[in-house]
Amino acid sequence: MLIEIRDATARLALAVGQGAFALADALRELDADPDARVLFVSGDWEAVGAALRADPDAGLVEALAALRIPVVAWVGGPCFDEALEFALAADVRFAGAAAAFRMAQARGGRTPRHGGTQRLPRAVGRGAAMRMLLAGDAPDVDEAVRIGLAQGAASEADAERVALAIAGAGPIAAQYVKEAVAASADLPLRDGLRLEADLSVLLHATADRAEGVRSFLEKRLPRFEGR
Amino acid sequence: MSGFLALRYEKRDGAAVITLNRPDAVNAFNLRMRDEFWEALTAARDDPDVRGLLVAGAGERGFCAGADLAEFGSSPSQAAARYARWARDLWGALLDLPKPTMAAAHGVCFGSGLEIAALCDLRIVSSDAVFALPEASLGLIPAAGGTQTLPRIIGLPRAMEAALTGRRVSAQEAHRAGFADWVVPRERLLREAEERLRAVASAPPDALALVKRAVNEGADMTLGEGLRLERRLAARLG
Repeated sequence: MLIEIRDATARLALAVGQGAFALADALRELDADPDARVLFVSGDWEAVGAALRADPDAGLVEALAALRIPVVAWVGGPCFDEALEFALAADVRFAGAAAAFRMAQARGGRTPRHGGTQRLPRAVGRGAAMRMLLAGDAPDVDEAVRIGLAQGAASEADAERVALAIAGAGPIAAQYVKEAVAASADLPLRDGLRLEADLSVLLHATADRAEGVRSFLEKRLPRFEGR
Repeated sequence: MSGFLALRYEKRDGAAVITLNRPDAVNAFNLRMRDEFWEALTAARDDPDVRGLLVAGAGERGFCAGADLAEFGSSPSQAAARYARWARDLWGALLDLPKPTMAAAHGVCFGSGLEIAALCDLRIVSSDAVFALPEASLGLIPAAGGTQTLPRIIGLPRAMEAALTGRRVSAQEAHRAGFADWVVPRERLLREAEERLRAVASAPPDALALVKRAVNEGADMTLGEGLRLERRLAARLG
């Protein structure tokens, strides 16, 4: 089992030997699993980078990006090139003390082909992205947090706690938040606002929304069922 | 202007000030406030003496704690709720106000409070301000534009983290992220907000309105289209 689900949280520990096709299949299966409310990815990012170089057409980054549930990534070591393209398909990234980032394929005469030229500028802005892509700049942890590549410096345990917190949110609401915020990069503002409003109105029919509001008014923790 | 119960509307020296005014409920945004906000916004838009709009919150505890959940479930149907959202597009009207807008946020600034601030052009906050989008933890999503406006201000990943986790963010972090344009001590917030807004609004109103349009509309265009829009708008000023 590449992905393990516990406490509504799916965990993927990246490791040498995991092939890109097998990982992509596991992610597609996860998308159909109602027990998982969030995915936490950690482990050996260079391993997934190597897997992507070995099988670039496995659809692995696409499978991660297509997940409906939120994805929290913790990077505790080198996360270069293809590995960083994979990490950029997560929704929230945290950097451990030994994290290192680089997207310098062009320095070796290649170009990113798993979304790096599109997702990196959307994450950190055009200027910081160009510095990494063209000049090969490798931001340290502080710089990665400053430019928005990572959302914080954190230990693996602290990053996992963020995933668990997301798993405690209303699961449909969390998916809709992900969908709406992700769409903000692709839609004109007017259309994005339409999508947000429609998703918000769709939630009116969910038991979770009623439970969330009731629990707030009764000052207790909500019990969400994903319906 | 009289008759408002959930907010105050004042004009001072060219600046219109809308003050959310339900301090006992940390200015929780309710239906009455929505209706009055629409009226106040219309007045500010149509009044040639008003050159800029400031939105603030009354009371000690904060700018706005978010939507008033006590009223949730009061809509008769999904169709009615969807209709009501667009029958009077309050958030679009704030976004499109052809005059500079500024939020002055102190203390609690959660949910739609944060979203109202995000719909303004500029944000000045007190050093004790705290920001969060707690909607998902309640089985809701932000619905005053936050999922679209926040990524445009602080970038996609930061906005995603804020909206997924509901984490509370300090004024200082909000400033580093580019959400808060200025951080000042609480006791200076309103005075400095009005001063800065008047300084912004002292430029010719036509130019300000056109710059605002070029930036907002251009953000959704290809660069080539945006440059053409800019040239077209610039030509209007001669």
